[in-house]
Amino acid sequence: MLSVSNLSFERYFERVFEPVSFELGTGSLLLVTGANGCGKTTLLRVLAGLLEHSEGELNCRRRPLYAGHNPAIKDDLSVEENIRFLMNFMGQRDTSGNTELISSLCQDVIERVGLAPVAQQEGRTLSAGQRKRCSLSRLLFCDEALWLLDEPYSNLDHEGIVMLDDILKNHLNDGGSCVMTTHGSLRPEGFELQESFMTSGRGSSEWQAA
Amino acid sequence: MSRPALSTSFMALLRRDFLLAYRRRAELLQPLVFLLVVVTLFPLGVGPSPQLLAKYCAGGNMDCGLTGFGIVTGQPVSI
Repeated sequence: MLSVSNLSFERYFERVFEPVSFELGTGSLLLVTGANGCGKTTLLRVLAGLLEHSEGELNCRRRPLYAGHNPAIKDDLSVEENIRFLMNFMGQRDTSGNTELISSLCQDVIERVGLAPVAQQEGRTLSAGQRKRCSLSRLLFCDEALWLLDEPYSNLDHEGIVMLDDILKNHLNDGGSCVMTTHGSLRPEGFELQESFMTSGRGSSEWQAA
Repeated sequence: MSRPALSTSFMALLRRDFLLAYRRRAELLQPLVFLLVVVTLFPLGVGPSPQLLAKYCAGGNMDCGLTGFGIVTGQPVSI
């Protein structure tokens, strides 16, 4: 699904991270770990096509779904309006553009991410964890096969982590795959995964795939 | 399902931005009020002579319109 060889990215003529190579098949999860500032987010942005890689090869057969570490929430819109916008903007599965189906899917998504009690509240009133849940709601209505998740566990409470693990499990069982970054403290539980430790381009160590 | 058509995404974005602008109505009026204040103050500053105003007002007002637009977009025109 995704194949990368000797991929690197330069900023101001300096490598942000050491060249990386990996193959990601269907139903697999790649966990990218590393210290703060070692280039995890940059790697995901390169994989998502938001940045142009400087060297190496990147083969991605289908367009990925990217969820950055900053929740994309508009403070002046309610949770429901934010999610509804994302659904209209990114597209949604199983509705074929039918407004009623979109509405019921939207309610369903809000309930599943546990935001039903605050659905009508403005984005500015949400806690960091609730913002994260709102941002992760896109995983429930998009049907991209490859997910690129940047620090998806940050700010989530235990229940939220279990929720995300469930969503991820369903996705992998359905033949999807996922690249996820984490700086180490929070990680997916109960998954078979490939793990890769990233090192900064300024360091001397090589990319290690375990 | 695949990604929606570009026009669908564009309409969603447009609708959201109008909604956001409507939620902050006070900010919509800001450049207009700014322009009114400048138009009023300009002749008081340079003097009320019609010849002088005919020469300078057009440029001054245009500049202030741009600055007012800059205020509302959050990126003031800087020279």
